[in-house]
Amino acid sequence: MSQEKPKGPVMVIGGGIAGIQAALSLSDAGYGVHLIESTGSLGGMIPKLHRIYPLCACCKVNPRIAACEQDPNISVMLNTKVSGLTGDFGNFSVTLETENQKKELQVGAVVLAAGIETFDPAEHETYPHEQFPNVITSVEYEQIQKPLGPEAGILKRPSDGKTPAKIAWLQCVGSRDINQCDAPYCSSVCCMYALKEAVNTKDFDEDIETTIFYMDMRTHGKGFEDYLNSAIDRDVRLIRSRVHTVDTVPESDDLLIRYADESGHPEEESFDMVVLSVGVRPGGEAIEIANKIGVNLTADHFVNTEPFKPVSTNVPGIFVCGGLSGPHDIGQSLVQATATVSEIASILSPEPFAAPKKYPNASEAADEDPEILLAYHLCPGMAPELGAEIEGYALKTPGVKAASRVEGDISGALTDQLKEAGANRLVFASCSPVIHKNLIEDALKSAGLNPYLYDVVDLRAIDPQTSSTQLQDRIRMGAARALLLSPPSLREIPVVKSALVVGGGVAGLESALAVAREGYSVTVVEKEKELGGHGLHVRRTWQGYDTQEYLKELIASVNQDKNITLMAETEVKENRGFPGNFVTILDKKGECVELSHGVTILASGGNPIRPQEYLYGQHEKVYLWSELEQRMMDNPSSIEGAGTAVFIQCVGSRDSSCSHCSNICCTFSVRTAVDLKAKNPDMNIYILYRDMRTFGERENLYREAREKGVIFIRYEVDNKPSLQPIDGQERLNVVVYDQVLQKSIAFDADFVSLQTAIVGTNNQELADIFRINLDSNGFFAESPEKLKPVDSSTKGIYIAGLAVYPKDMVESIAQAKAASARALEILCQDTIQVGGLVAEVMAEKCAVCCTCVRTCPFNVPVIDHETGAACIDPGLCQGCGMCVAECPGKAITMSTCSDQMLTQAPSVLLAT
Amino acid sequence: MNDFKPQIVAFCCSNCASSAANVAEGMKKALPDNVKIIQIPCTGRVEILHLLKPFEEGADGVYVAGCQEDSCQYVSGIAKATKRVTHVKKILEELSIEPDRIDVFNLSAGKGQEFVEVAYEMVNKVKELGPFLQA
Repeated sequence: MSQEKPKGPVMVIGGGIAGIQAALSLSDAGYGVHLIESTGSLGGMIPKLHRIYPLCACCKVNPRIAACEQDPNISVMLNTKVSGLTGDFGNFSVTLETENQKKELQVGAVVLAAGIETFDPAEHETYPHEQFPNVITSVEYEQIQKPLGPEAGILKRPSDGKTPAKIAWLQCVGSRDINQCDAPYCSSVCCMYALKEAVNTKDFDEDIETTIFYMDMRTHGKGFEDYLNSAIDRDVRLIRSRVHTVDTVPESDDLLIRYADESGHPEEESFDMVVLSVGVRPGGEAIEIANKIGVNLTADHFVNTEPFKPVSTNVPGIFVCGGLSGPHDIGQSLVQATATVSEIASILSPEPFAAPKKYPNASEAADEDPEILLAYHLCPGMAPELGAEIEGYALKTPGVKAASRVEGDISGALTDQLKEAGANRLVFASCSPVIHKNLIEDALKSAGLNPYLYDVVDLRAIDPQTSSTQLQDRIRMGAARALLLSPPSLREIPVVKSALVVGGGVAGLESALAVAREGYSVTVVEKEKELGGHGLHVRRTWQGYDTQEYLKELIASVNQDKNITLMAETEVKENRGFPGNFVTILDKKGECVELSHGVTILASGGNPIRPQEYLYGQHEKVYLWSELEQRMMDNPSSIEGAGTAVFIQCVGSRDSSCSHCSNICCTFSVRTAVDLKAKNPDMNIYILYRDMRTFGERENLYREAREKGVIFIRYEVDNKPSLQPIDGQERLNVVVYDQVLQKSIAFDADFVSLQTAIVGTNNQELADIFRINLDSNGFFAESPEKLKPVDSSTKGIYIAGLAVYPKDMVESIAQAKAASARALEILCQDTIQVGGLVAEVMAEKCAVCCTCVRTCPFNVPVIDHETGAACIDPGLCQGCGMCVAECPGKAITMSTCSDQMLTQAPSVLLAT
Repeated sequence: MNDFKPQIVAFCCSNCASSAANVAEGMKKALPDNVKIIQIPCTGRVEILHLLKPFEEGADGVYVAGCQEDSCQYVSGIAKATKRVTHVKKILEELSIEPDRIDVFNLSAGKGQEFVEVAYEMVNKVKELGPFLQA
């Protein structure tokens, strides 16, 4: 399989969230990674922000940065710039410059993740950012909101420190603008971040008035529309308008905003503060690098990617992810970063920096009487006297045999000290125990001990006045818990080296190919007779690439792949097991098939709903959008000859029946309108919409449609357009209330295309079978562990395509590749460890009351009828301990957080 | 002046409360030394008995610090803990003990200062109530 591939490490250029993710995923896949960052720290944009929407993941960024720094296969180079790149794929030579020192490195492939910059409003005369102190950018606003920012999270306006009573956000500053800045595209993330900033402001003080001035509210992503609705419920005020002047109110620091409302009527209103929602653009240095190495850019200066290869550039061996390839949000950047690993794996064999670590077999020492090593790590800011105090007290604490300080290589030092002291329990004191978890577990394993025989002492938030009491309390606590630890049982289970892919659409087939290419067998299950899924109804991508041509090739390569077994007209019936070892029962046209597999990828697709409104099904000239696409492919002249075409947006979307935005429909309509205008420039085309959500570079298509004379009419959800058949004709009469003209207008149409909501095909059924969670819109929910957009809530089950959220084909492909990269991380291991920080059932105490079955947020416990007790799979348990707390018979235990510990803890803490 | 120094035991989630502690540390905010922390993997792990035990051992107040309702890594952990705290309040009431001696707080890394603020809030509240044994 991989003999003829070249071998080498990979260079990731850019240490923001995309670069960090790419580096970690590459390391997991066995590659050595050079992670190059031009500034003095990793993290990129996120550390500048205050809370992330809608699911805040601030708490996960630092652990990831730490993981990069701790990983022996990731070499982080800060303050480093790329000054040159020569050679070809498999054998690139990169010249780097760190503080005037030049260095050359050989790598097999390169990932560009050099990220974005925000628009500098100084370039723009409408927004007096430089003149007035109370006009600030959104990034500056987030700094004020941050508890660790200069204002310690207390909202004050810059000019006089007054708490603002009224704050305005101005959208599209440095976006969707060809007059004053070179950014015709939509920056895609600003509507959501402005809503988030406004909601966070309300969290700070409910009485602050928050107003967002916008053109179209673009909340097109997974869960975004719900967030918009919750912001409206929180009294975040939205004004659809064009702002033309921001000035000061005479003799005050307040600001006067002059704007035209939707009907063009001039209005003005004063505010205490104005926040400019600045757009994003590819980083200047990144563009320079791209130009130097011959990577093609789009007209908007983002890195151009190959059709249907969303993370591949025109240069073989050079890949791109994150904001550099277009204005993407965090989730999408993570998806792309993970997808690069799947692409790299297909052309380059991994060359790690460090050989995989071998651990000695666990010794018997754990079963002997507990003897504790108390080790501590002091951060640079900490008083050195603290060390002596910790050691002094530790040695007086019952059970502590030795106490010592670790520096430098934490894991190595801990291993040596454990051995030296002959200790079989570890208490580790440091300023961020969560970040050190992996190193602690690694050290215990290296010392031949069970990796879970430790407890941590948090050295943070200690009052210097009373530090002794606090230190002593915490050390006593840690030691007392460590004494009560019993080694949890661990097992190494062989990994079944194959994958199950549910769904034979684009996402399913792409992920199947990516896994099969690495030599693992893949079974693809498709409900229908034919492969292709919803992709069969898509004519072109929004960029204009021919979809059917691509789909044909994709299906052909899947058919030719010897590692792939296709099962059409087959449905999933049951699933059990855990990552590395699943068993699924399939129904193949009535025949029952049992399949063992190590991982699962769910790509079961989605479909447009069939509406009950707009004469659908009653009038033959009213089409569903997929039907229109089919006609344009089968019999284009029947459509292209029309005199008047009407597109109605948000049919069954964004209303009470189906609250989500279906993401791709606005772009579909402008793409189709532009194509129809190209064939028949005289055709009248009306697009009736609520907000035009042509996010990102799709905005260019919207502008093109307007330039070509496509007419856009906005309607309100409570005053929808109406259709009337015209007697004796095939045509229809359309009446719509125009919000700009403030009156109803009517016209006749030759056909009407309804862009209806997209929903998952059979998500509920699959969620029940695979015990995974759905989101509030019925799509597969991403792991609550955060920053894992292709992981489901169950380990070993990954998700991609329309079943996760409506999205275009190119985005689905990226997701499919990311899902397969995650799947390969499990498949490339020979065994998988189960057990450890998990709940265990004592079968003899279980009364089969099913409380645990109902309690578990991940649906892990099941009743095993053979043993007559509940069974908690150690491979699936996530270790929260909720079932332990709920079990009325006390039949479930957790060795790392036992009842004994929790009931004894207060007496240990209060014994002074 | 009320110079009573209440003893408080806090059950803290090792995910959000820990990252909130990080922010609090960054802001150089310290916990009062009479608030003693027991770390748990998820606030959903804590039982009614665990919440009552500290009172028996001499604590004057108890609280649980977990995630925001919408961003719990274990989905419903903090919701379960909230329910249990509500129940313990009822038990305390039946025993003619002030239910305010126990509470639950939602923290997040984004508002790390609250990690310390809620500790002081609890200390002050329990200080007003006086020592537990006299109640």
